Amino acid sequence: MSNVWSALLYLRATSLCNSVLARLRRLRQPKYLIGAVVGIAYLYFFLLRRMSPAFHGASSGAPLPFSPSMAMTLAAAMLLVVVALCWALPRARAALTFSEAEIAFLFPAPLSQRALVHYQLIGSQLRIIITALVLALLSSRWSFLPGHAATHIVGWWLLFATLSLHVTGSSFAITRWLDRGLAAPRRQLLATVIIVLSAGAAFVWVRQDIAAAAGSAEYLQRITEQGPLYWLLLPFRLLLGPLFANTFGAFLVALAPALVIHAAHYVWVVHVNVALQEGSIARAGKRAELAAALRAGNFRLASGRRARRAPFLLAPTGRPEWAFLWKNLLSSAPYLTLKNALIAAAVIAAGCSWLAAHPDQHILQRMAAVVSIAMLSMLLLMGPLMARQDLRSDLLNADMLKAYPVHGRQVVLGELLTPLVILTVASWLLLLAISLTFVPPRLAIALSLRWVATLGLAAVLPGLFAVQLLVMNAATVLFPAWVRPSAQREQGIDVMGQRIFVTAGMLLVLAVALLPASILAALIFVLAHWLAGVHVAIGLAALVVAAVLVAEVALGIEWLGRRFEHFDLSAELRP
Amino acid sequence: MTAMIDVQGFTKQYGDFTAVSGLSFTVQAGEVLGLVGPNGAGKTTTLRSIAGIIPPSIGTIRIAGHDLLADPIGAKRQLAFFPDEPRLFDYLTVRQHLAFVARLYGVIDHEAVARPLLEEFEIADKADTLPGELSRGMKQKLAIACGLLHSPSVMFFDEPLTGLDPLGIRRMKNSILQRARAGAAIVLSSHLLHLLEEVCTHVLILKRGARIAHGTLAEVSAAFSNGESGVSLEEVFLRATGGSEG
Repeated sequence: MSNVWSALLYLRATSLCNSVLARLRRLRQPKYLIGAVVGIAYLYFFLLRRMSPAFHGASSGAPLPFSPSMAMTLAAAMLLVVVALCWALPRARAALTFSEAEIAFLFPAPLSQRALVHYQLIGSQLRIIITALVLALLSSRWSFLPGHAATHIVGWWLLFATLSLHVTGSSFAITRWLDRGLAAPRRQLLATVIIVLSAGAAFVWVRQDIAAAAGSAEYLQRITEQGPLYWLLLPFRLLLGPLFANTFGAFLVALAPALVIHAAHYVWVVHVNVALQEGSIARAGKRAELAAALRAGNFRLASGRRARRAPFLLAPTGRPEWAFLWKNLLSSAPYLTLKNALIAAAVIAAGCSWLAAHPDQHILQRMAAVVSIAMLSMLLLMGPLMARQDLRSDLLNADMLKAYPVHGRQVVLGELLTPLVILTVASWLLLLAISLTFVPPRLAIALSLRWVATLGLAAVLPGLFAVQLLVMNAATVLFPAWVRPSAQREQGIDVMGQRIFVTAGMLLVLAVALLPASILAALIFVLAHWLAGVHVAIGLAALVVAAVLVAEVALGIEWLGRRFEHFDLSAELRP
Repeated sequence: MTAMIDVQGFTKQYGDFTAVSGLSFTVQAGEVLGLVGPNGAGKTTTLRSIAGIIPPSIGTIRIAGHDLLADPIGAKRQLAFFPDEPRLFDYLTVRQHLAFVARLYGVIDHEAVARPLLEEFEIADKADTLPGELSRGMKQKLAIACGLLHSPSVMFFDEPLTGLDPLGIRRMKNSILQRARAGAAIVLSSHLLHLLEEVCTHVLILKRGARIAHGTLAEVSAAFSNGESGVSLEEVFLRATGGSEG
């Protein structure tokens, strides 16, 4: 083995080994060990245990409405679309995925381009093998996929490894065309024309030559197993052959042509001569920036950065919490403005009122109500996970925040305000739509009562979001290694366990927070209902829930603020 | 005279590892203290602790008379910390950074204060630019402009010349000297010993978290010159630390 090869393999092996060791060393801290235990338990109960025969017997799922051959045809068609998109979609210059450190060390080193390509291919194998293993665990239970877990592992690996080579090879080929003067729009136009003409020819052939069948499955079988579509799908069917083989013998027979296709791709990628350094350097820089932006929940930055107009005028004096709200609003999407919220409220009010006033449109009205309820439920569960313009996005700046002359509780409250405001306004808009469109079945509710209930819920929603956001931010301060501000996305069993742990913790804390509020609100409701009627009772009960949640969040902010004051990121990130 | 920076018995531990042990020193108004030591000597830990970013394990730190533990807000109002890597908010322009910092420190006339600062650091024409569009040196200048906005009387610089061009280095040195002459107490950590020789009035040498030498440049030089004359700070540093890692 040449020195170059041994050096590259050494880099891959030691990087992997050290990464695993660093993770294992981190497990000496109980909080990270708990995350790993939760992650392993999840893997066992939701993946590995499902492979056992006992589990199969206990829960045999309903078979899907298509046969293995039909599934193979559909999969081949999907692969055809993916490959066509590789050539038709806009692409940047050919690039391999390297980290910034790899570029700094490997690009100036006396390495051939072929060595770099091989290094990248070896690196991608770990990801592909893990994906193949996980998918094989799942697919061994799919009724439309015959065979055994072992043949599935090889089948999935062949599929993804070949697709990965095709994506790389197509980017190389497109870059060569670009270098030879074929401009990107012309190349896309050419690819699109070929795809449209092929689809048109296939459509005409199907209409003229294929007789209609009784069932759609039978019809699909007919058109894909003869004529041009058969030949078009053949390479993809050959590639999928090992995955869909039902016996070991059939697997071995199918393996040969699939390996030939894979080998042809390998030879293609390794022997194409194209300048990929420029694209790879640009991609590495973008990846580092994108990863940091996405990690911070900053989807606006991730999609291209532009300075945004200040959301409001920040006076030089006043409570520092508003400065954090102002700062973090600047990081949110530019369309998240008060003016747009008011416009949305007006549009929702007008549209939903029109629907409610036209009984002939009751289906649309019901659909609007169902969609709004579903969206509000999603927002309640997923919103705090997604709106991350808080400590989660400012972890990298923790030192700076701590050097400011503000209390920890002020930093925490200030950081919570932006996602809280965004989620609250979004939920109020959805609540407005629900209140105008939702008609409870078999229950007539007075209009006044509907509005009292709506306003009551509107008062409670910010508290619900605040509790969840507080838990997410507490997790950031308590477990910073899981959200460490590196360019690489954190992965691993302990990180998976942490995510489950935090989500479960969030739901548990929410339940605990709601318990005293609910008990108190129930008592108030009964008393007020007896004394002043249902309207007052609902209103008072909602206010009590909101007040208790606010008090709980205030206590939580005080506690988290003190934790933040003693927080040392550098100590937390020591392996 | 009350010391602007008064550190007594400062110790910082991370679990079983002691990063800094029993460190005591003072810095008066107008003094510039150079914090030097081999890698891992505890310089950055010391700077971060006396800037109120991480709490000490043991010891007291007073900034302009305010106890950093008992009155962190009062102490932090007097100081500015400049990390080696400029920490900026990706989505705030130069102008918006200054407005944000002004609010936190309550700088009422921040626009009037910021204008000469931006001109001094030659980033006035970048006022509406995001950090992503600035060079490394310009980011450093913006971070320094933000730190100077509230006219701090105590300043901590961690490797202040990193990423600056020769003109920027000269301006930075002049800026540090100018602030010291105006009465600020300054601590700066750097491996660039010629910078310390040009800028510092005092020097504190650390090794493995402990103090090796402390005093004026002349005092420290005398302590390690072995009777020789004209011994450079570099030679003093190597003799003091034995030339090994911290």
